[in-house]
Amino acid sequence: MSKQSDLFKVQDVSRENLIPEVTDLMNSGARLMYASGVDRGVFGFQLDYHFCFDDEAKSRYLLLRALVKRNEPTIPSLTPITTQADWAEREIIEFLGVKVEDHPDPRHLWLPLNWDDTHAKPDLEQNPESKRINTDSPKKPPSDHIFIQPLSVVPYGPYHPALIESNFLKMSVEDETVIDADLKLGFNHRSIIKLMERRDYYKDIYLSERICGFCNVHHTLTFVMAVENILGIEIPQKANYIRTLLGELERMKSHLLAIGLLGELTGFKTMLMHSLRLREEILDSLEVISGQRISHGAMTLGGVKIDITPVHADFIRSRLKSLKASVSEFFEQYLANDILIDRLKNVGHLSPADARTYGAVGPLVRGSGHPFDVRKQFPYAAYEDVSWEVITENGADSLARLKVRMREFMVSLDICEQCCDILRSVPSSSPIVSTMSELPCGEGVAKTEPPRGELLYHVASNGTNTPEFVRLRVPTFPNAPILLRLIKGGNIADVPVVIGSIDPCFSCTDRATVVQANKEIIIQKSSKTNESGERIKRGGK
Amino acid sequence: MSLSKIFMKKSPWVYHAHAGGCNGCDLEILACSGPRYDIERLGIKLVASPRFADILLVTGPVPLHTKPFLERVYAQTPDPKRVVAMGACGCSGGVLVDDENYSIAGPVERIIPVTVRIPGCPPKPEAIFEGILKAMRSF
Repeated sequence: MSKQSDLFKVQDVSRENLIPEVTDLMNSGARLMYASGVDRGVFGFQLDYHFCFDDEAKSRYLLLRALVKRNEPTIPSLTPITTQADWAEREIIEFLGVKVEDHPDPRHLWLPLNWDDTHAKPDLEQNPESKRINTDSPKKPPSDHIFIQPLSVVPYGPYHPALIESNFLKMSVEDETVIDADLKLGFNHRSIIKLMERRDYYKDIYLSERICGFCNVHHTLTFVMAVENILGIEIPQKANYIRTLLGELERMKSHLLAIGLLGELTGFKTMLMHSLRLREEILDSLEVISGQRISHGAMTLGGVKIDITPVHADFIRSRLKSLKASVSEFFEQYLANDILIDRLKNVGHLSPADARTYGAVGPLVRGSGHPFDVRKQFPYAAYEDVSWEVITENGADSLARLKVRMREFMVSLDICEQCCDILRSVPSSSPIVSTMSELPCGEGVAKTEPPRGELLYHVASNGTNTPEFVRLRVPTFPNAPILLRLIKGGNIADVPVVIGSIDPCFSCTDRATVVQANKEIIIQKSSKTNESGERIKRGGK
Repeated sequence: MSLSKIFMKKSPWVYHAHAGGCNGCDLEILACSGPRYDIERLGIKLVASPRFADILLVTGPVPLHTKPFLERVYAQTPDPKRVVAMGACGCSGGVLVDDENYSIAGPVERIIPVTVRIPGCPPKPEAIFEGILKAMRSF
């Protein structure tokens, strides 16, 4: 892990120099991963711009830090230079109150739709007895800030348990073509990073595990890696292999589900059932290791909590062996289906140049032909010690992204087998947790590659038992604006395919889906009937 | 009450209302509908609208944002109805309970009446079955 911390560099930048500096960086091939803001009290607001350089072999990492005054919280917007800053700046505007000048679209993205009506009351803050925020029902029915155009507006939502994260996608449609689309997030906003600043590091591991049910191993792993970077400690090699194994098992189950769901979204529920059947094998392995199917509580600072004995390794190995045969058969069936392939081909085309410009991550960017993978570029855990290849496809459409997931599944399976073999041969007495020293003041950054793309954690310690701040950027955060771009101009029937091929995770981002949209239709209908019902009553009187 | 008697009453149709959970519970509900557990063999069906559901299966700690939507969903479900709160977050707020948490309106029982709670983070599919059976016994 010290390897990652060597690449970390902070550079201060003044408000005036921000635009020229960032322009230079972008011209030299940098990617703006995230922009985060921290309230530093009397010092003002600290704005961190995280850059990485994908073209360099071991991708460099740079953090530009600007401090703005409390009484004059303004910063020029980077969105005109690069769209990668768009959502990150909206987040800063929304949660910190920093005025980002010239941002083209400074609307609420996360806070409740009726936030200004119900919660921005001045008397609420003055009343010391109200410990919690006013949770009464809003006086006005919730409205959204999403555009209204003189076209038919479709709130979109095919119901599916796995896409159930509540997000609200609204599209304006002309004939069958999507003219515009917008997304309202915040239905899952649980203020987890705020809670992390209030709890100690060991409790934060459990909080980070509850950010997302799909990639909880990677969330905990990235958090503990960021804290370990502050400490500068070495992790026992056995723990690194266990981390790699757990991460890859998670990637396998997530990819398998994404592949199945894409089949379901194109009308082949059989594929989903096959993938659920195969997924149980992986869940069995995880349950044998940790006692839990979904959340494992496996990571701890300085190593892992769960030891993998030779018996565990043999069990996983046997499951992987049967999985290898059945999954290749499943993939063969999947790709032999002409109708399904035609539904995916040339749908949601993201050209390689666009993938760079918009800052795509994960299978989305690898499906457009770029070999960007944090596991190779910014190695962590034991990825340098096992042999594997980055998967890329050149199709740049939904089919290419599907194929990336399928091939990555086989690569992950191979990595898991290598890890199992090594863990079998390691003596059982070898340590899995390294001893901890006192945590110094400092900052740590860690990046990993969850199934959906790059995950970034930025943790700062102030010497106490709670972090000074925690900021995280999840893979869906850069990918969701691209999702909107891919939907625009396409056929409305292709929307589920595009969503499924990107496989967004909005519990992380706090996500953009789909079921809420279903509810919205119903709500609109019911509010109409309510109104007419009242009218009838009045007429009766 | 034996299983056959429970399901002679009615095939329960379940609407899964996601109220800000982490997807862990939602994945386990999905696993319930998969071939190994196959919830439909008991006549339990996951439906796409609360309008024809008998049981609401609510996951998550109910963020402020989702609260009005959850209330509407409850109002739209026809009587008689039962609410099953699922997961540690749905039962009690779980790890997210905190005086300073500005964005949580839950747990579920603060918003809509809850009949059955399924603890666990996330509960196993067997526990979800048991929770739905308990809700059916209460009809």
